[in-house]
This record gives sequence, structure tokens and C-alpha cells, in this order.
Amino acid sequence: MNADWFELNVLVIVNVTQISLASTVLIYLLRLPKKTLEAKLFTGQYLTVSLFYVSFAIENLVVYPPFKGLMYVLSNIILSTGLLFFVGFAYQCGGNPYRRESQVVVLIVASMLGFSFFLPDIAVNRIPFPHLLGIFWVIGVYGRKARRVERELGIPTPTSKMLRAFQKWASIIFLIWVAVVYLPPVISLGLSKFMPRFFIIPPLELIQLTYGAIVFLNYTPQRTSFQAKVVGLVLCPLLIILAVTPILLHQLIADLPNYNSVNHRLLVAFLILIPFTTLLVIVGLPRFLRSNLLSPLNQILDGVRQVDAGNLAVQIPVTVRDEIGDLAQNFNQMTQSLRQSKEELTQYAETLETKVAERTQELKQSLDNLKAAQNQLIQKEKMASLGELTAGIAHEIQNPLNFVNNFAEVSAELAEELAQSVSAGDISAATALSADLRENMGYIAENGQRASSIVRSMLEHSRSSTGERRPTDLNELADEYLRLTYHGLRRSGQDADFQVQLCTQFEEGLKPVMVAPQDIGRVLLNLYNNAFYAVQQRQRQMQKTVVTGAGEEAEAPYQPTVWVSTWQVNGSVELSIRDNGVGIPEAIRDKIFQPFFTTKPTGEGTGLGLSLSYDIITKGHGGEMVLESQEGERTELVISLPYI
Amino acid sequence: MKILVVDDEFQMQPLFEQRFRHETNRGEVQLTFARSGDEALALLPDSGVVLILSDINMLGMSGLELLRRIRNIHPHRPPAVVMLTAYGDQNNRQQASLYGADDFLTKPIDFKLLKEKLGEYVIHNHTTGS
Repeated sequence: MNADWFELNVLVIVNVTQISLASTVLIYLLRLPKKTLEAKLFTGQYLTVSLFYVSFAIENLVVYPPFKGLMYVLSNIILSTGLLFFVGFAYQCGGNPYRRESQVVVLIVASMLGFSFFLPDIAVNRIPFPHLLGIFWVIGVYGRKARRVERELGIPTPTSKMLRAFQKWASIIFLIWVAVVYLPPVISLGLSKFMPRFFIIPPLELIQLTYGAIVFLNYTPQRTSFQAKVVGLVLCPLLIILAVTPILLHQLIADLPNYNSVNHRLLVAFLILIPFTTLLVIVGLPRFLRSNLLSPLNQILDGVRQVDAGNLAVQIPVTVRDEIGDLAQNFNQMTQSLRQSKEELTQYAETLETKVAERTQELKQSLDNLKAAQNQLIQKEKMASLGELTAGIAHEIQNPLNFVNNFAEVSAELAEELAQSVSAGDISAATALSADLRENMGYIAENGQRASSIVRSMLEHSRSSTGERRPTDLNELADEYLRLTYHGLRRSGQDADFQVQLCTQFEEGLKPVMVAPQDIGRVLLNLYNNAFYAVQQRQRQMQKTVVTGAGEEAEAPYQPTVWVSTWQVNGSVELSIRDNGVGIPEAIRDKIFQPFFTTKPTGEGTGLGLSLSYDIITKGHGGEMVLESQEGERTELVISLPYI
Repeated sequence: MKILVVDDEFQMQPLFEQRFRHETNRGEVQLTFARSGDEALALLPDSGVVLILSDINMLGMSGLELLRRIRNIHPHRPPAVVMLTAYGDQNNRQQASLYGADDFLTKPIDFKLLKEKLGEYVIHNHTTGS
């Protein structure tokens, strides 16, 4: 295996580790689909780096001097191209804010590249200072760009983080170059014996390769995979170990008598071991990851998507018993509880519907009951007001009856006397008697009429209102009900000695108005009753104060009075009922038309009178009912009924 | 005997006049009419009325009030006071007897009964008055 023109040494082994790592990254980058300019520049860097390590390996392997010179030139060209990519990427990644500057810098680097084409004869082992300068400049570019982004948004963004990471990467590369340039002189000065260069530079270079690639994969908009990063992270320390081990071993075997053959065998072994290890990691690790991590994860991911699409029945197979397996198991539990909650919700929604239906039914029932109760109440109110009328009706019927009966009886007597006078020939007596008789007949007819009118009114009042309207003399109606109410008022002993002055002022020749008489009658009855109640209350109050304030002479004795008047205005007839009673306090004035509102003691008023009256006038007849009151002095209700 | 009839119904006058026409013609009874309590009170002094027949339900002063006032002046008969009402409920009856009414008659008036009782009121008058 040994030959004159080449020599297998540790540096070559180091180069092989570098080549395998760089080319692994390069292959991955090349396989990325639809590369952006950034990705292309980055790939270019790894391409040149790989080529450089290959040239470096050949350079280290070959001992033939002229050939070596050619290699130097080649590596310089490769390095300059690499710098071009390096600078280009630095400006391009995350957007290029310094377009003009970048053009100038790229031009300078390109000229450096051109310059290296013309240096085939110099045969200098690389041109480090322009590179150091270039890399240093790139560190600055990354820093400036990062600061710029941070200044714009005020906080570190993913872009600025990426730029900072690339800045660190460039710093590592800068450090490597410093070591490359300055360590050999240090060694030659005899300051160090242990070839620190071999322990520092190769690991740094491997770290640099891995770090750059991971930063790129983390932040690039290109779709990359988790696998690649894991592979890189595993491969890097492995290759560092493989690169450093021969150097260590080389020192151990240096004193052996058969050093040459041992060294050679050792290096060959590593030469095989390195690509083999790399291949193992590249091929084996993704397979392991796929079966143990990615495919279970994908199953879970698939499950999540199905759940998201609404399929809660999904159960994913638990293939491994580790954290991933736990995750799958928990996922299954989660879907199960989700399913349960959904079922409960569905069930609840169903029961809710039936509950709503039930409640609706109950409400409907309540409403029906309420309506029935309302009708009963209205009937009760009607009967109550009829009850109030009883005394009035009795008075109004018994009085005419008194006349009808008595005048009829007495007329019979007079008729007999008339017959006697006629047979006795007493003409003057007969004439007087017949005049009396005629008068009596008139009284009888009049009172009979009066009684029948009262009965009709009473029937009309108690009958359910047909609401049928007919031309009605409001004056007559108002007067009739006033009498009924007034006489009804005195049915109880306590009220019997109560007297009220009635003042009526009915406009003569009032045009009949189209109303339902029994409805309006109920309204009148109600309002009259209220008026009488009010004056009565006031009188009681006055009596109390007279008793308590004994000795003081009251200015004028209180005369309870109720005024009823009618008059005609344009298009309607108005009726006013006024009393000088207790009045209505301001606070309850807007409540008195509300149903069930009453100021009377419990059991005395239904609280429906005014509310029904108001409805009859406004809704029933399209009229108006206006209240005016002065507390402690007076109340006036004006009803306005339109002629239609 | 002098009788005062108090009622706000004007037909009361022809009715009483016709019913008591024989008694009036014979000079046994003299009828006086008042249309209200006030009128009756004004008429009463020195009228020699021994019997007052009063309605209860009248506009203005009620018959019961009139009774109360009469009994204030004349705690005992004469005059006798008989209440006539179309609505003879218990309250009115009690109130009337409390105020000192001598009788309580309901309308329609039974004149036969009234005439029978007339003597009673007068005899009563003589026995209690002496």
C-alpha cells in the first residue's frame, strides 16, 4: 500500500472526517427542493467547503512538491469562491438592506478570486489575511443587520435571532482562521509541544460545519426536517471523536519500534471507520427516528387532524411504550372524554328541547289560567259594581212601584166613586174625578216606564257587553247612572246620613253619540262611585280634625259636592265628573289606570274599575280620559267621546 | 191630626192627597208636604205636626239625618217620626231606631196598614205625652 508520492497521515484522517461531515450536509442541502437565493448561496458555501477539504486532504496526502504547488493554487481558488458565497449569503440572508455596499464588497471578493487565478506560480500555502478581513467584515455585516432589525421592531425577532446566530457562526470561522494563521508560529517558537493545533482546529471546524447547518435549518423559510438536525447533532461529536482519536493514538504509538506499520494500519482502520460511521448514522438514525418517534407522532398528528375535522371516534394505535406512547394513550383518553362531553352536550341539548317544550306548555297553561282569571276578575268587578247598585236599583224600582201600585188602587176607588157620581147625576164631581183618574193614569204610565228603564239598565249592566253601539243621549245616561249611584251609596247605615250636593250642567240639545251604553254606563258608575268615595273620605278627615282641633272655628263648613257636566266640542262630546274630595296624590297619578291598583282597603275595591273604564273609553270607543287633580282639594276626570 | 210627608218625589203629594181624601174631607187629617229635609225642618216649628213620614233616600239631607235633627229638638213625641224607604235593609232599620224613629215602613206604601197604625201613633202620643 505504501508508495513514494503519497503518505497516509493523521491530517488526512482529520480531513476525511471533515469531508464526510461537509458532504453529508451538502447532500442534504442539494436535496432541498425549490431553493431560494439564500439557500443556493448557503449550499454554495458547503460545496466549496467540501471541495476545499478534498483539496486539503490531497494536499496532505501527496508529498510530491510540484504537484503540491498546483494544489495550493486550487485550494486558493476554492477558498476565494467560498468567501464569495460567504459574503453573498451574509448580505442576502434575512433581506439585503445594503444593496450598493454588498455589490462593492462582492466585487472586491470577486477580484480577489480573479487574482488567485493568476497566482499559479506563487505556490503560497493559502492567502489568509484577505480571508480574515473578509470574515471579520461579515461578522460586522451580521451585527449591523441584526441591530437594524431590532431597532425597527424594538424586540428581538426570529430574523434578528437568526442573524445573531450566523454572526456567532462567522465568529467561530474567524477563530479557526486566527488559529490557522497564528498557531503554527507559536508552535515553531517552541511555546507548545503538544500540537494544540490538531486538538483545537479540527473539532472547531466540525462544530462550525454542524452549527452553521443547524442555524440555517432552524431559521430558513425552506421546509426542513427534524431528522436532519438530529443526524447532524449526532454525527458532529462522533466525527470529532474519530478525528481526534488518531491524533491521540499517534502520540501513544510514536515510540513503538514498529511505529510505521502500526500507524499505517491504524490510519487505514480509521479511514474505513469514518465513512462507515457516517453512513450508519445517516441511514440508521432516520430509520430509528421514523419508527420510534416520527411515525407515532404522525399517527397522533393524523388523529389531531381527524378530531379537528370533527371525528371524535378516532383511536390511534399505541405502538411504543415510552413518552410518545404515553402521548398517544393520553390522546386516546382525550378523544374519549371529548366524545363523552359531546354526547353529554347532545343529550343535554335534546333534554333542553323537551324542557323548553315543557316550560312552553306550562307557560301556555299559565297564560290560559291567567286569561280565565282575568275574565273572572272582570266579571267580579262587574258584579261588585252591580252590588253597589243594589240599593240604588231597589230605590229606583220600589219608588215607581209605590206609585204604580198605590195610584192603581186609588184609581179603582176613584172609578167606583165616578160611577156613583154619574148615577147620582153629580156632573161636576164626575168631571173632577175623571180628571184625577186621567192624571193618575199618567203617573202610573210614567212610573211603569221608569221601573222598566231601571230594569233594562240593570240587565244591560250585568249582561256581557256585546259592545254594540247605538245612538245614545249621553245626558240621559249620565243622569240615570248618577241617580243609581247616589242612591246606591246610602245602602249602609254608616253612609246613610252622608249627604252630597249634586250639581249637573248638561248641555241642551246634545247630539246623540254612538256608544255601547252599558259599557259607558259602567264607566260612569265607576267614576261616580270614585267621586262619592273621595268626598266622603274628605268629610271624614275634616270630622277628625274638627274633633282634635276642638275650639277652633272652621272657616266654612265643608260641603261635599260632585259636579257633572257635558258639552260639545268639534267632532266629539265631553263629559266631566268633578268632586271636591281628597284628590289624588301626584305620586300615584300615573298608576291609577293600572289594573289592580287601588287605594281602598283590602276587599273594598278590585282595583279594576278605573283600568277597565280607561280601556272602555280609549280602546273601546277611541276616546280619551284625562285626569286632573289637586291633592286635598279636587279631582276631575274628563271623558271625550268622538262622533263617528 | 197634622201629618208632614217628606219626600223628594213630587208624586208623593197627589198620592197622599188621594189616599187620605176621605180623612181630609172629614177633617180628621191635615197633610203638609216637604220636598227635602231642610224644608221640613223649616216647616216644623209651631206647625202642630204630630206625625212625620219621611223618606230616607233623598237628595241633599237624608231622612236619617232629618230624624236625628228632629230628635235633637224633640227627644220624644210629638211628633212621631216614621221612616218610609224603598230599601229596608238591616242597617237602615237599626240606624233609624237608634235615632229614635217610631216606625219603619217600606215602599210600596201599604196605606191600609199605615192608616191602621195612625191611631196607634196618636194614642201612643197621648199615653206617652201625658
